[in-house]
Amino acid sequence: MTMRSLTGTGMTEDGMDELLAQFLVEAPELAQQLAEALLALERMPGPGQALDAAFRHAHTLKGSVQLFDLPPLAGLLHAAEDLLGALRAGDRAPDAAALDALMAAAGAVEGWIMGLARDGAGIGLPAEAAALGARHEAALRALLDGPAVPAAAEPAAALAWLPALLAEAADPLAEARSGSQPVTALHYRPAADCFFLGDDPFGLLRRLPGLIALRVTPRAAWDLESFDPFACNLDFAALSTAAPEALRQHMRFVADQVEWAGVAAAEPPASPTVAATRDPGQRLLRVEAARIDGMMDMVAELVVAKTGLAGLAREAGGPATPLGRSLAARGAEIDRLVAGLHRAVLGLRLVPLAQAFRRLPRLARELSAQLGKPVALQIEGEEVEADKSVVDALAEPLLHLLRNALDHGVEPPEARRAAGKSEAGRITLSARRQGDQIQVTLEDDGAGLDTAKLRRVAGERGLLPPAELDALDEAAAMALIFRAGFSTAAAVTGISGRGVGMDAVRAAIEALGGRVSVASRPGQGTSFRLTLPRATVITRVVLLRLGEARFGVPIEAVAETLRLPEAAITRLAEGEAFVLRGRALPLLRLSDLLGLPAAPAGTERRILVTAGPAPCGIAVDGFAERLDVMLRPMGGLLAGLPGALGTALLGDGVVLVVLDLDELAGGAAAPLPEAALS
Amino acid sequence: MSIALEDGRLRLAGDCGVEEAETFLSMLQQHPGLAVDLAEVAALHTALLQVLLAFRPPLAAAPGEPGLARLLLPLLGR
Repeated sequence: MTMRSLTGTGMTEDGMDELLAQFLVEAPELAQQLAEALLALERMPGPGQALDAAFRHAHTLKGSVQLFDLPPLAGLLHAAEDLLGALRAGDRAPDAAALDALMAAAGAVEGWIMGLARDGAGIGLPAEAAALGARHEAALRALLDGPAVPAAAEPAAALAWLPALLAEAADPLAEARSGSQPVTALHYRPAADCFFLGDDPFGLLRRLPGLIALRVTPRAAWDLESFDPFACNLDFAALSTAAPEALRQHMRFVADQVEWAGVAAAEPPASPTVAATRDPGQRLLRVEAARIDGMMDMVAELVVAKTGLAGLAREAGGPATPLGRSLAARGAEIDRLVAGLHRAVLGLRLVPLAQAFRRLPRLARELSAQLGKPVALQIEGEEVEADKSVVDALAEPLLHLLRNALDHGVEPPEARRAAGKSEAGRITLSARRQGDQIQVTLEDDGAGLDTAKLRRVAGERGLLPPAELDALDEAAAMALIFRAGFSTAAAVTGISGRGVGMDAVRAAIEALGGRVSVASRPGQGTSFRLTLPRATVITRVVLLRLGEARFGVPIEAVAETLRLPEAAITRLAEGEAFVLRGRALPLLRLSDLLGLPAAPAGTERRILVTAGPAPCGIAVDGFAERLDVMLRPMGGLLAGLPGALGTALLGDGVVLVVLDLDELAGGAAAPLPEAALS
Repeated sequence: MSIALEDGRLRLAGDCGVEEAETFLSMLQQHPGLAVDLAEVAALHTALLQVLLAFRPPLAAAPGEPGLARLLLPLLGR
């Protein structure tokens, strides 16, 4: 399909372009939401929010698709809308056949729309779309005449107040859930004349034990002209973590005006909580990511440019002169402002982790069917926010971890039954914020890691010499799975074994400046924990010289810098070493680590000693100044470069590569035998 | 007295009971746009809360009592 056919007719090119641009932004979201609503519907079949949402999304999407010339998409959505409408009207039961067909259709729709969004306006639907669309459409139409819903009682319309309360109280609710506290919801509808009876509903609820959220809504629109201050026109809804008995006791005098509801420990993904966090609403402004990135680049330059002020203050005579002093004071003020600006721009880029979690429920569903392992995926903390780059980059590793948990973690139902567990595995994905970091944990209740097997496999693959393998403690043995070239699957399965092992997960997380750890108990399950920076941070780096090139090293990675005469360096069979305060340290050359030509030997060496439990010396050609830089994850061509933490833009436009000394030296610096230098 | 007009703001203080509702209402109606100072409020009866919610006067100061402030400010959209 060409640009012409996609831009339709009857409108000016400009108006159409604008519509199209908006469509390409909104349609993927709608398609995603449609799929999510269907998933939620599968979990809770029947009339209700999920069905309404699915119908609405299909309807909206159909509406926007019809603006363009995309017949297979429009036809398919039309059929889906019709079927959803029939389900809603109760003309047809939302059974597995209907849901499967809807999900298949939604999958096709999403695939096409993602394709359009990715390839831009110039490219249309794939060639096979027409045939595929017709097939899905026929399947949906065929289902329209299916069995009707058995006349069932409406699910308590009485609890209509609950969704809004849960949506508004998303934060305290998430907090209560993260502490696994049971939550009770109540709705209190005081009598209009309750003030005359001596009731004070707000006062009563203010003292409610375990109160974590309160919502107050006017029952009828306010009549400000003839306002009656003594008629109660308020409804109250509250959430509490206290025991239901205690709550009933507290509300006993108004028990006839109160309605109760238990709140599930975890909400299905299409919960109102999530819907609320995603609802763009009127007050939001869509801004192209590129514009914010542009601002971010300017902030990064500003961070570097401001360091020039310190130099100026020194040149002007430092604190000894008035000019030096006032330059320093202005410098401090600009520091503060730049830090504030940096925070503000970072804030613009924060998005909820839900965006990285979106694909997971469907993947779990597909894999669970494919592997014959029933599993319940529980997601918590999807409202936690992080920088868009972090959230985007997190999606892929999470998919892999989930695949791994289903494939290798959760046992087949027979094995689970034999072990006395429920047949359905449980996988929990949770996220929380800790200061400047976010922590994402994926936990299964499967068989756990078999460290004996891990050691054996690592031995077979020659990852470590046998003696070292035996010396590893349990935690270190578990960490073997993060090593490159390790895969525990005896046979490479179609699901996990795509040549990307856990080492790919580790690499991806470390590229974001994070780390990953694993914990496991035999028979009880495995948990992977990812700790990531919430956003790109300003990092203080030490600049190193190597020949003409400059590199950065985060200041935390450096324990000290030394100047050592050649004579103080001992040559060993395996390399070089030196003694620092009675301790023998291996000495590596940065030029060797980076595969660059070495400088001619002089009479002394400039050495950087790495921080951490196993320090080593790294010889460089020299040290330059220390700088604040904004570190970005390696992207594009450099993404796979080992030994680099990221890049930073310097004031002169030079891109500085910031090195990961741990990774660079980790492989090269074998621990020295204590006696080597004695 | 727990409701007073001081320095161009309407100060509520102490335990503000249902009997104050009418006074509060009429003061707000007589002085539209008058800011309300809740710094000294210890307890606020539903009837007064209702007036605040209906008329949404500007807030000169939030309740000093943290528990009340935490509960009240979100209700007032602050």
